[in-house]
Amino acid sequence: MSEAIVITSGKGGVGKTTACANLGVALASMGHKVVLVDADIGLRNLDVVMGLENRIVYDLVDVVEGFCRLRQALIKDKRLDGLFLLPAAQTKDKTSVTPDQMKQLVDQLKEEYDYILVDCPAGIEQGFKNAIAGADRALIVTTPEVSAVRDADRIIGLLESSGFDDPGLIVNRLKPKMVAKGDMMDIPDIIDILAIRLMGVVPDDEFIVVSTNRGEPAALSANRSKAGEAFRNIARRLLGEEVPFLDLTEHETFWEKLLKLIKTG
Amino acid sequence: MARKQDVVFRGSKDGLQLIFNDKQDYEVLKEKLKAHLQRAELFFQGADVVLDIGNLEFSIDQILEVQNILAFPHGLRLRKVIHGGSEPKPVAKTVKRQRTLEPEKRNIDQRQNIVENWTSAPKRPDTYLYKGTLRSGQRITYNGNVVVVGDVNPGAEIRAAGDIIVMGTLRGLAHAGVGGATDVAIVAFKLDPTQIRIGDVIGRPPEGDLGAPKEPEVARLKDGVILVEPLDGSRWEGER
Repeated sequence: MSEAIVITSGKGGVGKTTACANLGVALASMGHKVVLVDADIGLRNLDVVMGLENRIVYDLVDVVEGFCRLRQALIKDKRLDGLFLLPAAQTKDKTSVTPDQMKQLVDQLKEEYDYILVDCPAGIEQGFKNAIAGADRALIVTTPEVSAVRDADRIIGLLESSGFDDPGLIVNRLKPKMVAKGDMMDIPDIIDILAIRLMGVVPDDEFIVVSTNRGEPAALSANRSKAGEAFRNIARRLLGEEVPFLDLTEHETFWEKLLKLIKTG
Repeated sequence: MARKQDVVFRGSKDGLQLIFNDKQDYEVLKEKLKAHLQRAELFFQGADVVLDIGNLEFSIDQILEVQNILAFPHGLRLRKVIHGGSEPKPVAKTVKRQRTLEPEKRNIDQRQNIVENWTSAPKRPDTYLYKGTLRSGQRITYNGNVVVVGDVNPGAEIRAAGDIIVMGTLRGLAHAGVGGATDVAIVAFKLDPTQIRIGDVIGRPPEGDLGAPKEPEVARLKDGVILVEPLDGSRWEGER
């Protein structure tokens, strides 16, 4: 009953890798066996965001080329028991792997893990084709910007023609204050264009910058951040739980309440 | 599990190993090799290559052709040809181009005779000097010592059969003693690596921010553990 989920966006820099790391952490901390696959060969980042860069010995290309066994390349997370990373190769490029090989790899991972999260590279070329090859489901990350939404739309079209029927949407880096002033695209505007299921909204949060630099994903339960909370909610929705969405107008008051709760507790 | 690649480059004991899929046709392999080298560009440059042709039968002309493809413009040197899992056969550094009278493929015995007659590679490893910053995704693989005059950034890799000296900050990955040598060292003005490997031993810095190193340091293997010490020129010299 395992599932492979590709996290993609089209545009670069919208938070695919951050989403992948945080959803992996959230799912693993709920007791699931999770493996994160960095499909961004040649521009790997997931290992850095996870704080596991210095543990890499073998990588995805080594596995595909038969240079090592799959198990040898998997890096166990230093904080969570059920969380593993398959790092990308840095000295190779996207053409080192074919979609068929990726599919085989993901199928092999499915034998042992509940969730396989594939971090897709930006773009629509071979890296994208590799990343979606073995996936059962797709999550699209976008930011409330016209350019990011445009690229997300393009990706959704490509996914649909590849047989993905119900992709989920994550809107990242939303600034509620700007939305309230009418300076930023609103969630309904985005949904209106993209017309896919909303899986969650992640507010813009400076803590993400800190956690990314430290290699400690914000969704680790010890971290009390807005964004971390949002990613944990998305993970619960991925599992099929009904987690209420936060109304935009309630956003600030909710977070204020949460902050108060932390301060008093 | 994976479909066999037609042309694969791999770091090995003897430097760079080039493996040909022996199910594939020579002409196809030749084109794939050219394409592969074009993509890899500068970073194979100067490396020694061991060619593994599996169960293929190569004529002397074909071997010379492969040697030429490797040599120009990439500066790769074909040192050995391995055949059907046999022991590596030494290949000359420079080979006189010779014409054979027979146009058809030679059998294995004849080819091996020719290969054995070539003189072997020099015993003392030479040193590869790289000037500039080695950046993420760039890799030097060399069957000898490597000296970098510049920094080695995270995501960059140096794999050397001998010693590695970085006249700058080593932030990436350095693997000295790729062939299994344990009496090799990694030296850097600032040793702040992602990971270092000596022989078969892998070491990574402890968790937590230790701050940048203040003086040149040397990493060596002692009792199966990688030990990092301040660089004392005379002592380092003296132990070797």
